[in-house]
Amino acid sequence: MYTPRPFKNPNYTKNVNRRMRNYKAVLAAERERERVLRETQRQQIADGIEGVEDVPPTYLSIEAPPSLLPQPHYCDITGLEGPYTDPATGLRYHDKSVYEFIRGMARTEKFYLSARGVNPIVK
Amino acid sequence: MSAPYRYPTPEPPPAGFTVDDYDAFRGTSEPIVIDNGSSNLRFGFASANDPVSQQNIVSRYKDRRLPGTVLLFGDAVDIEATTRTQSRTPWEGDLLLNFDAMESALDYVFIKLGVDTGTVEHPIAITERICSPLHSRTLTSELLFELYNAPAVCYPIDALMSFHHNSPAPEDRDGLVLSFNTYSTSIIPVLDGRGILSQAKRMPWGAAHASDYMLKLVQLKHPTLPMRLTNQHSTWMMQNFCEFAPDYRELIRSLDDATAIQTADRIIQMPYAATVQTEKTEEEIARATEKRRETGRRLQEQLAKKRAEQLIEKEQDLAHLLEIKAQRPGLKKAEWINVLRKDGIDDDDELDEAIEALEIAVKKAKRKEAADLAAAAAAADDKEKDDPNAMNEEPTFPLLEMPDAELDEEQLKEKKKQRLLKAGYDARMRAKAEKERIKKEAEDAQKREDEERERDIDGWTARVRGEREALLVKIKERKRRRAAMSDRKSAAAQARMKNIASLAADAGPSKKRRKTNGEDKDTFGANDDDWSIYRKIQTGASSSDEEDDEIALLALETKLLAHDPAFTAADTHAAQTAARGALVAAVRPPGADARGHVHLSLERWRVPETWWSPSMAGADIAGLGELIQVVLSAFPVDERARLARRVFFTGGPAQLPGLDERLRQTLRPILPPEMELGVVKAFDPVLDAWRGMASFARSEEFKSACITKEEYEEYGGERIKKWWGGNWNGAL
Repeated sequence: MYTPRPFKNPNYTKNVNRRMRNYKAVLAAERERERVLRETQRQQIADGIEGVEDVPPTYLSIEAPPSLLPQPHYCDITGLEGPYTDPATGLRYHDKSVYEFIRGMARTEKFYLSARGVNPIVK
Repeated sequence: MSAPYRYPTPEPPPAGFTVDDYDAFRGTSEPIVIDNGSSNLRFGFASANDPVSQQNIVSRYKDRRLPGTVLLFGDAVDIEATTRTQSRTPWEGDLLLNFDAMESALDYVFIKLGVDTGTVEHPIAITERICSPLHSRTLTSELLFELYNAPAVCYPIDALMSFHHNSPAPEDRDGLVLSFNTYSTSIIPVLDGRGILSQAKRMPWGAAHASDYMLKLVQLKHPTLPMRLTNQHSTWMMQNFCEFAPDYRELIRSLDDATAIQTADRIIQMPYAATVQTEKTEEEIARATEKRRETGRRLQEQLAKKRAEQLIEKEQDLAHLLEIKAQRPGLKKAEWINVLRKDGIDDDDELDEAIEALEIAVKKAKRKEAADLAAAAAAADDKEKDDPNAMNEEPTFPLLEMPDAELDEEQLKEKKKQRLLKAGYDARMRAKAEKERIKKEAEDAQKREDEERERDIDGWTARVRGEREALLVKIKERKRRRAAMSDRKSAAAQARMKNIASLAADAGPSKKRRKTNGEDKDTFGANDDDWSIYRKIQTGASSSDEEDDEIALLALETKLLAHDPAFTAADTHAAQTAARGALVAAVRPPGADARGHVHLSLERWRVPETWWSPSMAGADIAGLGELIQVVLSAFPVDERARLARRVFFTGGPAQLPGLDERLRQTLRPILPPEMELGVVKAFDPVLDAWRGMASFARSEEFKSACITKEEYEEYGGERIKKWWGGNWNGAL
């Protein structure tokens, strides 16, 4: 089934940039653009030009900063509060019964840790 | 615990494709409005009531019957598993990067709207990510202006459009907009209807991340589920069962026990193809056993018969040889040798050897026959037990008493038979006596114990309890040891390695040495304790020991339960183990995986909580509450008050219940008490962005917010007009 697309411009050729750019490259270009803008702005202020415009916010500049609050600790197994840490596996746990479960667990701690974003170093 | 919810079987996408009628819009400059979201694409003419909504996903499909490939867009991609896995989206996470897919998506939009003119003659409003990278905008402009020859394009921000749609009154033009997207969540302060993007914040955490987290949690909880869980499953679970907790800490404190968790538990029956297990009925099993037993018996009978025949043959041979031997004294040497040669024997020695061998064989065969008979008798005995009416009188063996000389041939044979029967009978009797003796001993022990108990109940209780304690310690010790063994570096594991090494080292002196030096004998095994070394180096469960201990423990506990009033059912080892594991068992119900059940208990709040503390899922980002505080603190008090008066939230995840209450609970403590706080949810968090855009596109103001083709050609694809609902970067 082919639907005609008369509205398309037959003379249009693809922009070569289109394919090559990946996520990282786009963000790097964005960062570079912002740096150049800030540089010109600084230069203009130094030159004493009146009414210099602020550098507009960019995709990267509005990104949320890392948290400054203390991280809450939750039990890796149950999701309840996790005040304790098992020194052997690094798992946080809620109480004695969960600790017993951790002891009896067959080496799956790294999956629990990676759910929390911790990638343990293999000893 | 409630009844399981069923995961819905996905419906096949509707077949067929209809193109909308274009006639009403031909020649007009009715704007086409597109909400280009990373999960869904919503589009339509500005005057339409509702947009067409499709998943923003493209896939190539090759039908064998058709030449070439078909390009699928939207829900149609679900038509086949392979097209789903090979699908691409215009978005890569939060960024619009894949412009081949974007082109296909836009093609679909215009085809579906019925555009059949040489160029797209309508101005286009297409949403843009907040502070979208200019690369994305350049290429989108390029597509729209060069490929489709659109006359004008406008790039609104979806969240601001949703806010615009929900704030018709002029006094509602201030607020704090929270936009929940698939790959990010943004906070945009709005004053006088104008987004203050310089103070906006974007949190790289969205519904897709939360869904991933849900998937991980469920996979960890149900590691042996009979089907593969996918993101679609976890997204469905999140959308249907999750809610924001007003106060997460308080909530998890209230769920700190097994029954509370079970009440909060939602069970989901996942679809899976059950492995068919043909279960045999009791009758069938019984029949099979009977058949097996019958075959065994027949085989044994045949064997016994054969053995009996061989025995007779051997006895005859033996008699013959003995006869020959008896002839020896009366014969000359040459004659004797002739006689021997007839039977294939070379000399005297060989004859003696043959006789000896036959005698041994006959003896052996007789013993075997006796054993057979005893076994048969025992079997008969068992049967007798089953049938109490069976005759149970002592058999008599009269012929055994008589000397052989007094008997004739027939009676001799009978005597032989009786001798065998008697052997069997005696064996049976011995076994019976042994059984009775054991039984009696047990009874005596029981009696003694009863007496002891009656005499001194306290002493007895103390003794039994002591025994039980000792067993528990033993069981615990074994468990501890096994746990220690799983750690390569533990003292127990090291000791085991040492034991193995020493065992290997003295594997015994060489053969030669043993012969020459009799003194240096291996004495391993002389002491029974030597063998316990093998038990020590065994890592696996020494299951029989364990079972024995458990049985003994059970017996002790039964006694205590019967006679010690202070010992209740809750004190038993089994009950205590269950009580200790109750919390974990409530969170991870045993046996759920096999039934294809997914249990969601704490996860229902734990997953949405990631928006407030992404560190839970390993993302080092400030949570939503913290970010709102950061954004608000950038404004002077009067403007802060205007923002707080209308905290507005929109986007797919905003549909989860409890968000407004959670926002109130988060914001109230960080605002001065006299400051008014209002929390507003978008009327339709999903479609309001499109609706806001549509109404804006119909307004006069729309023209001034658009960039025209001439402007595009002059300034390039990055540039846009600066207006209240658009981005600031690249603005003219």
